[in-house]
Amino acid sequence: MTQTPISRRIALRGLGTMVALPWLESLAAAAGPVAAAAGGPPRRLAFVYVPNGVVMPDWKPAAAGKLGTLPDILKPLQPYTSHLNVLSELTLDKARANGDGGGDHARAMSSFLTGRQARKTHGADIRIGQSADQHVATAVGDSTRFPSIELGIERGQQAGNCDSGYSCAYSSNLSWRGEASPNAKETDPRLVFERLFGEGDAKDMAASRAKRELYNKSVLDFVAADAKSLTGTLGGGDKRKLDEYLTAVREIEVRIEKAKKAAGSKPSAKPDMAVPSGTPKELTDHVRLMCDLMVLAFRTDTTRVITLPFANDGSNRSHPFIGVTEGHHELSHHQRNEDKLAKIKKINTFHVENLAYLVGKMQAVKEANGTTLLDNSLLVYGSGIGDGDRHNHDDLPILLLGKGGGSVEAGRHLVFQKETPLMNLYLSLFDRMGAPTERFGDSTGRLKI
Amino acid sequence: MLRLSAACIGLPVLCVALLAAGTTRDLGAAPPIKPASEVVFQDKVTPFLNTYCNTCHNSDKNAGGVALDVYTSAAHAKKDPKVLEAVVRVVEDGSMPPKKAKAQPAKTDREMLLKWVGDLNTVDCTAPKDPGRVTLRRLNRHEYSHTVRDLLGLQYSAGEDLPADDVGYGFDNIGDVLSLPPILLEKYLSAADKALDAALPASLDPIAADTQKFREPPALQVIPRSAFNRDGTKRKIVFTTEGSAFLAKHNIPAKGKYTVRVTAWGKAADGQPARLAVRVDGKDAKVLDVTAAEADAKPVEATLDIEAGDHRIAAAFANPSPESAIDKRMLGVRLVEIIGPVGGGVKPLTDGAKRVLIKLPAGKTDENAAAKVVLSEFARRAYRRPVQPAEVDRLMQLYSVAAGQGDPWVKALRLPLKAVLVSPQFLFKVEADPPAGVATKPVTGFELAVRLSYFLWSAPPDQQLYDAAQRGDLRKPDKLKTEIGRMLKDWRAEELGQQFASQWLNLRLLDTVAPDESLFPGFGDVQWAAGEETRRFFNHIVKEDRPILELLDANYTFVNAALAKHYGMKGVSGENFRKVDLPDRRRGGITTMVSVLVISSNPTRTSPVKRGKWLYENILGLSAPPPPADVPELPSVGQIKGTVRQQLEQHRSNPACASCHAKLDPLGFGLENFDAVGRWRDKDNGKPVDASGVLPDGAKFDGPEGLRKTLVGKADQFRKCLAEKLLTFALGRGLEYYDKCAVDEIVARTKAGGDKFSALVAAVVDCDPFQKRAGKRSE
Repeated sequence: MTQTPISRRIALRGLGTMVALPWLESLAAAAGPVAAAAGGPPRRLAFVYVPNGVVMPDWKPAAAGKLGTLPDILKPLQPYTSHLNVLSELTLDKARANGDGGGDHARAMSSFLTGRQARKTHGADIRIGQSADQHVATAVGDSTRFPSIELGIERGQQAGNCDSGYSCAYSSNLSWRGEASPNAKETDPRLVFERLFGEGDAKDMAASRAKRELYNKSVLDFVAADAKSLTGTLGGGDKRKLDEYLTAVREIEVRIEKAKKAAGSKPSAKPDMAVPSGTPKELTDHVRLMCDLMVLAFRTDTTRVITLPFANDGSNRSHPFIGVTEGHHELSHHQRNEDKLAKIKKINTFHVENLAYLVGKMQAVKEANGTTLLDNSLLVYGSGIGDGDRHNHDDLPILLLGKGGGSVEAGRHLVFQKETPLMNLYLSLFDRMGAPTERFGDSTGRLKI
Repeated sequence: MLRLSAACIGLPVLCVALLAAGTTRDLGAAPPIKPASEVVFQDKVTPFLNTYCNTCHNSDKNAGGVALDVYTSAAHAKKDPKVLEAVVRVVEDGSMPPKKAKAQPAKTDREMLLKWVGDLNTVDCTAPKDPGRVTLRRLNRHEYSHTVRDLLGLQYSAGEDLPADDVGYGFDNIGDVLSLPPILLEKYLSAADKALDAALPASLDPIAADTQKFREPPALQVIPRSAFNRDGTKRKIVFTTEGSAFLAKHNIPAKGKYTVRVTAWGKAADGQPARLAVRVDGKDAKVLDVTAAEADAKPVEATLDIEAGDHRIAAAFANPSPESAIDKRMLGVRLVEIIGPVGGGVKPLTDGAKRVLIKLPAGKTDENAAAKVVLSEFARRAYRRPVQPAEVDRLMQLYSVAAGQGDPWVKALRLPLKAVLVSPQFLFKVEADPPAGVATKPVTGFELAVRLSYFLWSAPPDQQLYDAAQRGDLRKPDKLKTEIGRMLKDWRAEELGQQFASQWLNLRLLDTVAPDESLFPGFGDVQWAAGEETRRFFNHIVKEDRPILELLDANYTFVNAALAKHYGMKGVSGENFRKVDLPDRRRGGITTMVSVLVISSNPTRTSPVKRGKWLYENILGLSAPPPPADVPELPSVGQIKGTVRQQLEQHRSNPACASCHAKLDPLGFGLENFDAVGRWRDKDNGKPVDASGVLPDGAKFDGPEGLRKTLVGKADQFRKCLAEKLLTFALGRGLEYYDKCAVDEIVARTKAGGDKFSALVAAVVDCDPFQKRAGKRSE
């Protein structure tokens, strides 16, 4: 335990006033502080994923009902029990083999937000389904500059076979825009910051806003026409690639339009955070910096939907700074060996400590009507695997934090019927986010929460 | 439910597969007669599987990750070639059904199954072949960096800030997997701005004259040093012997006239005044008499034409008196001024800017014409093919938009240039489909050049390759061969090590491995070097055109001091890598390199299973079955009794584990003399290492040298493995059953070509999948 993340963060906070501008500088204007809209502050939705399951006996509260003293792994969340629900017996059936053989890690991660069976392929015809965050982003994304933001800590594996015949796309992406289109995640805090809050010289660029808008529009029109003319000549999978391209062009066009409307009506956001210098060497620093950015993006209403996997599923990362030098995946096959269980527990607790850090920061943000950001958020935390040794996908470790703008009662351990689809939880969250639907993935109905 | 949906997917597949076999190409034709393989499947194979296999290998139990009850037809089963391959292996060597099973198939039944699989996999290589269809490939971040580098002459990685690309089939250049989410387009837009900022001048306006003054060291250097004296607050430069006051590296910002003005005094002797030579880069440009007295130093000057760049500019004492003279001439220098460019000058273009701005406008009137020349050429290079006049017109419209806003010429060009760098024509390797009604067609010469250059260089074609494509030379076997030879010798071919080998051998995992610091202190010092060794070794094979079998066994390698120390080698110093002999035969080739040994280990201990699996998949080209879910990994050091090997052997006493581990573990055992960071060891956990092994086919070996010989003995298998990996990388798509003919042909031609790397590459480039394109993808 030699890391000194606190001092660095304090230093960052102190620097604080950097406002910078992206290639579409004017867009930053849309990121003003959240206005007190008629219906109160907006609701936010976040998904935080952890790989390889957890030590369930140290995770699951002994009894259903009101939360008391939390089990060991959840201890760091004790101060936030009034905003916490522990959800038991939720199941991800589509992470099971269902005839597809090995590959639980790839399936766990890819089905976590989709509730669908990943097509087993090394690459040709990858297919799963739209993810829950994207479902919501499609519905409510219009109100913010970015419909959603995808963050990460680990990049996708850069070589080799990721998991038993599944393309690495499955085990490194949580968010899927469409059934064959994973949303790449950003793992470098500096790049996240620059994307959200820009880079460059404000004065110089502000002088020629109209010109810049004209140029951006001209470039986008040009390349969209190129893509359309190519679409006419190519077939099959090529068309799909060009569709992706055109979708991306449209999304950026929409963002420009939004910025235009927002220009002048809202003051520019001033993130109280300096530009991060890159990816920190220490994992704790890295994770917490991402949490800071997540809070910042929510606070400035830059987006309302964020995903952040703490690691890719199957990750074999070692955690020497908490005394765990073995790989996480290697350990997760613990065979009830006490020493290994103790070490996995350390990793699980480390992850929950980071979650507590994030939640604490969300609680510290006061919003327009006296509520906190945490009050107005719905944050799902969990893993697509229950116990790493058994690779089971039922009774998953799932937490729901925040009160969704007063739409969720908290402070309980809810034990559902065995084999309740995890997607049922999402259906209930969709309602609260203003994106109701009757079916999602393998959902069978809404969850009473 | 699921089985039903699998069948739904399988059905159209069946039709297409049959078509691909060459019976008919007309989709509207009558359904073909049921092939023999389907009849056998229904009548014999299904009963066989149900009787002997499906009790365990069904979709519920899924033993060993294999379910054989899912196949609805022979064509459906054919979709899983690796499963069929595995079935053949275990049925052939008798390891399945397990010995304890009561029902054992008769010899004839086993043969029936093997023959059926054999027939199923037979692709008629004499019939018209399906070259496959590569899905439109986006440039991955490495290719993007290299492409922007070549286009704009940039020295930085323009793709550095792009998100990581997803990997499929072990590589990050697979068209199907390379998606384009909005965040990426956003990054392309800003990367284009950044690249154009770096490459192009902000303005072409002349720069104004400027005066720079130099009085004394260190700015103004003096030789001999004794000519410079400090005398209290006074400082003097006085020459009595040969010498000069000079600027070692003075930057001349633009070509033009510069005045070098020296305030000096001189003392004459022998009737000759002191003379001062103004020298540029060691050559006298002008010699001036200096007659002013010491108390009244006066400027003398020379105006010269100087090219842009760094120059040595000196004021030298041109005529010192001979040493014997009693009355000596002297030269004093007070101040050196460089004034210019006189009347202004044009800042020279950087190399990168020269590549883009191939024509500069002479005046306002020909700005449009110059823009058109620049944009046509840039678009041609960026799109890697000739451009149509209509395309240039569209770019000119963008230019007009910016020019209409009052942007000066070079700035206005930025807009169309940016559009090119974000256009799908640039970001994707576009290939035309065959015309309607035609199944396959050869790719065009330009498309072939693009395939070649991104295969061998991960970069766009250079002018020479482009010209060859234009002349049609790439369709002439001897010319093509010459071109491949040239490309493999080019510095860009090092990308084969950086991109291909790094992924084939999983070297990129080295960035993320974290061996336990307390057990293996100092490994961080060689973490990068370990990968570099393997890349250099691979590139040596490429560049020197060595036989590919040397990858498995070579008596040399590449190390620097840190890595040599790690290996226990003596006599290597410094950070630079060099080729060294390997007299110790315990090492040799990639399988005993630190890089490979580390990435296939756990952070605290070796893993013979992982090492075995690595060899199995990357050297022998077989696919290892996945472990069943509830099998534990081994405990770490400290809790285990005996060696890792003894632990594993206990594990293997469980028959459920034995059939797979009998294939993987022995290979890994052969490397047990190397610890988790690849250092030699004689003992593991205090007990002597047993590095012997027996493979399922009965091959025995002892230690890494023996293992290496065994692997070299399986040279055909290795050739096939490498051919498959290289073809996958070259095409940017996964291989399908119909690629079998191409792979066989590549293996045969490589062998016939003395296993030379160039023979392998030539065979890959010659094969149908690389040369042609199908209009539709068969499944």
